[in-house]
Amino acid sequence: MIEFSVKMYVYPNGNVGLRDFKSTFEGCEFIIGSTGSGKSTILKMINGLIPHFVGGNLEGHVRVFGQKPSPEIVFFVKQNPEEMITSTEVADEILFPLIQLGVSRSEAKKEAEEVCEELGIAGLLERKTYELSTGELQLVEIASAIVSKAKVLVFDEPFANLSRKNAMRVIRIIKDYPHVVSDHRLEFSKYFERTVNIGLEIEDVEIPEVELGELIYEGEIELREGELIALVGENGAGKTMMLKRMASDMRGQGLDFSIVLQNPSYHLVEDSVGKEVDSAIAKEFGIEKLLSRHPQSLSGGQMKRVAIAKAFKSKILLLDEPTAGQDCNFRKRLIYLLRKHGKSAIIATHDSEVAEHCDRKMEL
Amino acid sequence: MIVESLKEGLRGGEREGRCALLSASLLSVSVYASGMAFEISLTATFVPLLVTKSRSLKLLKAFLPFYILFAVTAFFVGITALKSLLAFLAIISAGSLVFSSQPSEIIGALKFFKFPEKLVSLLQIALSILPVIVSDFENVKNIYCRSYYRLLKAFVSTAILRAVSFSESLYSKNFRYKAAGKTRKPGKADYLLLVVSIFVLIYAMSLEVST
Repeated sequence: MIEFSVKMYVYPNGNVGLRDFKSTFEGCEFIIGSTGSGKSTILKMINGLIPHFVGGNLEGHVRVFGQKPSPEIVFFVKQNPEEMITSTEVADEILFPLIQLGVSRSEAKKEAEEVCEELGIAGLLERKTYELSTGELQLVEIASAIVSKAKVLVFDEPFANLSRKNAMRVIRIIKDYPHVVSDHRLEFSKYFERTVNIGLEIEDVEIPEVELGELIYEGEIELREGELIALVGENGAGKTMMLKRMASDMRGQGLDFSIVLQNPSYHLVEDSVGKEVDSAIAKEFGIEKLLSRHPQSLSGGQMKRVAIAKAFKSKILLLDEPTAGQDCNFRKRLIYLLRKHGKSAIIATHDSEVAEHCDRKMEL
Repeated sequence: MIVESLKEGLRGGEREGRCALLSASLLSVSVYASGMAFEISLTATFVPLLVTKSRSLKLLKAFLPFYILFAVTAFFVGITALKSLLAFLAIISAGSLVFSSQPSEIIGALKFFKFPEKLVSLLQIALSILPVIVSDFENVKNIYCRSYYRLLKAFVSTAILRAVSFSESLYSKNFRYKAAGKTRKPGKADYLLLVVSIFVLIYAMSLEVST
């Protein structure tokens, strides 16, 4: 169905994106790999974003149903749903791909409503896209992909911002369509016919025990020195809003804290990673090879890692989905580093493994 | 304050798209046709305030720095600058009528009036991106509230990355410059707005003729 015979792909900036990749996908694949291993590059090749849109030099070829990759036959849902928005209204957002195919609005709306019922997001249809949480927006974009009538659906980290319940709902629905999914949440791999591993080796990290110290923040949540608190809840429960409120409160109290939001580019303002993060911390985060790179030239996952490493200069960390876009090794490493450096952190997450390693969970 | 006002001002309202678009155009033309007459500028400012239940005031607030600039100029230049300030206010206020309707209705109205679909589809995309950019600005502002330089750097680089990502998304969604808008039957209030706008235009033209 999808044939890869790629000797090498080099991005326009000279970075090698993929090397020696030969494989055939049948349409129910789950791709895993370490952060920056080339998973997104593979996905972008399936719909022709690489090389037709992005540019660069591709040695080899990719065929989808024997044809050249094209967005007409492959619908690609990106990692960050905010960057997929094409309408201010949810209903228009979902039916956008059908409108592009020349389907009438009323006909397209009927199909969109059916898919939304199946996905359990019919209640979002009358809302504005900019009022939704990242997780809700993710579901809207997935609905849009399903409605699109494309022959293959390609998803880049669709579960990163979804609760387990919503992720399972998505899996059940996309099973009826040929699909390729790349994600770091390995617990979902068993629901796919085949797992393709792009060089991921699972590391064993021993997390040190830490004794909690004195109370250092008293607001919506009480936080002790060295304590890790997981903020969990369904999509749209208000986890990000709560983190922002606490950040504002901490700023008012003059506490030493850093907040890392879901979009890492907010936090990176220097012209090299080396100026953002000191080399010792960079080594602990596994980003020492990136020190000379411009932060905005990194992949989404790498940028997020740099943003979290930068936040380590503060005593208290407020982290919004820190493991979204990160490989499974980084989940444990993050907890290990937080413990090792005695940081106090409030972590908004859908990642059950991260939540399990925290001292306590707070459900919204 | 400016960002919040802009975001609130851009929230859609209840007016019918075609009537809102026509009225906005008629009121703007009135200001120009009357040679920026005080009474026309004031009427063109207050009609949208009434229709949008003062929501257009939020959009007007977003342009506060420009009014200050005009006001300072008026202090030195005199009556002409004051007239320009009022005309500027009136045109922004009249433009805000467009946002008294839902974006999909405005798109529907533009298609109804046979605007090229390519232009309409691009307008739709631009409108949808605006709240994301505004929200990015708010987030960046909260992070770098004490450093204007860092705020600007973070915002500009985020906006550039967003632009690249949005264009990738349009490719991925097989964008073919097609827009989907909706139209519905106007209500009494929509017709009333249209009639008032036509009267303002006729009065503006009569003023110009009499001078």
